[in-house]
Amino acid sequence: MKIKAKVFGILRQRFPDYSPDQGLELEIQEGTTAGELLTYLRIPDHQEGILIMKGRPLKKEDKLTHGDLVNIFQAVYGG
Amino acid sequence: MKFLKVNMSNKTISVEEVPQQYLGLGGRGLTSIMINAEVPAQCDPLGPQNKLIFAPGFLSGTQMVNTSRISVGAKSPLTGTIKESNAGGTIAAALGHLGITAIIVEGQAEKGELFLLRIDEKGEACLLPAQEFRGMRTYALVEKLLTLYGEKTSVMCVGPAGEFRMKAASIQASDIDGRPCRAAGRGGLGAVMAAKGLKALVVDQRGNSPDALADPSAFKEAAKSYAKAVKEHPFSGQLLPNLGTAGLVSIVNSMGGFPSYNARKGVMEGWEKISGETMTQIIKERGGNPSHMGCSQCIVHCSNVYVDKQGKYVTSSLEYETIWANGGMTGIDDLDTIARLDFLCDDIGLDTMSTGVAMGIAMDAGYKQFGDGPAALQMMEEIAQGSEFGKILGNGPVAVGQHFNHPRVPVVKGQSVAAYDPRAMQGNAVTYSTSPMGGDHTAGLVLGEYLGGLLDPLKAEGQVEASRNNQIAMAAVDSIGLCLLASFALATPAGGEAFIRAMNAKFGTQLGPEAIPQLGMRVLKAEREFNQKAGFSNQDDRMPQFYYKEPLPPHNTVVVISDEEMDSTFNF
Repeated sequence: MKIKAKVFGILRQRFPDYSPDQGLELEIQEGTTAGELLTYLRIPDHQEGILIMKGRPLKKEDKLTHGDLVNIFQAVYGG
Repeated sequence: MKFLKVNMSNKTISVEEVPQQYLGLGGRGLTSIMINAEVPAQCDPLGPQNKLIFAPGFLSGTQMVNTSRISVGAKSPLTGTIKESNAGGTIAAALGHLGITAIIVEGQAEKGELFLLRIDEKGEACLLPAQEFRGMRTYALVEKLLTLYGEKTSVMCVGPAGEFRMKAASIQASDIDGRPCRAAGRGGLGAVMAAKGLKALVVDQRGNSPDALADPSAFKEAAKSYAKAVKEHPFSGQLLPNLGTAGLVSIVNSMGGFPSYNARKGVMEGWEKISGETMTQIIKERGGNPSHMGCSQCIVHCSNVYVDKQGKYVTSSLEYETIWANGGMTGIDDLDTIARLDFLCDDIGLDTMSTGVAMGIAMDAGYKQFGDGPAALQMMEEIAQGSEFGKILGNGPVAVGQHFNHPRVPVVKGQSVAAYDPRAMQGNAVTYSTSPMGGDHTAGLVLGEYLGGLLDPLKAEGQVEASRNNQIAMAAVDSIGLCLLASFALATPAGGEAFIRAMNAKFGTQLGPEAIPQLGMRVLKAEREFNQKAGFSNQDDRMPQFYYKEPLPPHNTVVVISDEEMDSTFNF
């Protein structure tokens, strides 16, 4: 299935040709979870990757579906 | 461990040993407990009975990283409550180096009198006439003071807004580079300082008489371990040094909780233009500094130096809350305009949050269109000039709402809320409503809990507990002198353990981890007690009506925390 991911903050440094307008077009296995997507994108646990979709933070076990648009962040605590 | 008591009525200064009941306290713990004990709760905040207390944290001036935070306490003219307004910069460390636990400003100078309080490297203090500095904006003032007293000088001062006794007036603090770009912004304490007859505190940074540590080598080891925990934490070690707090613009918009157009929407159109990612790119392209050290002892470097297209200094540091108040709430999606507004707030001596929110209300009421940058800059100049409308703006959101007879005023107890809409992040409804400070995000922000999947941001369940825990933790952090942005490492096993070790090495105690929440609860209780004496009750611990009635897109939710739940926040 295909999904689109937009990446924010210093996580962008992991994707050298990243275009903020286009994001990442990804082809991943059916039923991939939020946690599995972070692993697939090689975002290590210590960077505390978070997926947000339709305004809601996803849990690691939440499954993605074809056509999803997710935003990927590092966790923040306040400012 | 000494108090410097400055009586502005008779111009006397006395040095006293810290009395027993205040021993071991610092920062907000000291200011709040002392104000509750000594300031008549019904007094006029701008009168002689109020006290203005400057207290570095109890670890300020030690080797512990990120401990140059100062608490400024008084009864607030903006809220009528007790107030602790917190600033970074260099002055907390400078006072710590002098072993000064607090400066307590009492009484009131005669109308027309104006003074500097100068403290030299021996800790000797004197009041000096400051007529020549009357009306001066803060950048020019601090430049002049550093020329007079040398570069190794820390300043806290008021600008024209304070001298006009505006309720959104800040007290500005100088940073590492000697610029007055750090602020005790909230609560209008700039007006209190000016009402005392004080234009500036001028403190020599070269003091060498700090309070003794009970076990210096253990302290050094513990401080080193804590520094490592701060560096290893992904937020303080990676995100903040790169994007600063502005890094929150994108994530909070993505959550639908970025109050925009005077809190009519939870996502701002074109927020990408004012995001931390964009800001960092602009600063880098123009040769500014996106990872600047603003405060003494800082290893996080969340600050930045924003420059114009010619590479010339505009402001430091452009922060998330400022971008929100002057960008989100006003609909202005131009970072150059927002940076200029930030500079003007610092220069005039205004809280960027109350000011931005006040302008957003004026726009919402139809005074100008949302997104009109030149109009915002013009409003700022009106404040600086002290025009009739400028005085209304400078008195903050409630004054502007009254002027336009406009009901959508996003405040609690007179102070504006912050950049996390409580309809999309319900825990912040609890913090804004119940904090003894009035609407305030640093009093106990609920955010990490949502991202970590611990709480659903849109449901009532668990929000009171999260707010309560965070309010307790922050009351302690603000007493230590620790920067909020370096405090998240406290929640890690290594960081928490190291910090307790440092506290014990400082005081010669055997405290356990429960000491931190115990301190926080003691501080909050004192603050609540003062507010009750000042006439506040549970009925004041509520969001404005529109938050309960007007759904916020995109989630289209309202505040769902019941009054009963709100009232259980301080059940400890």
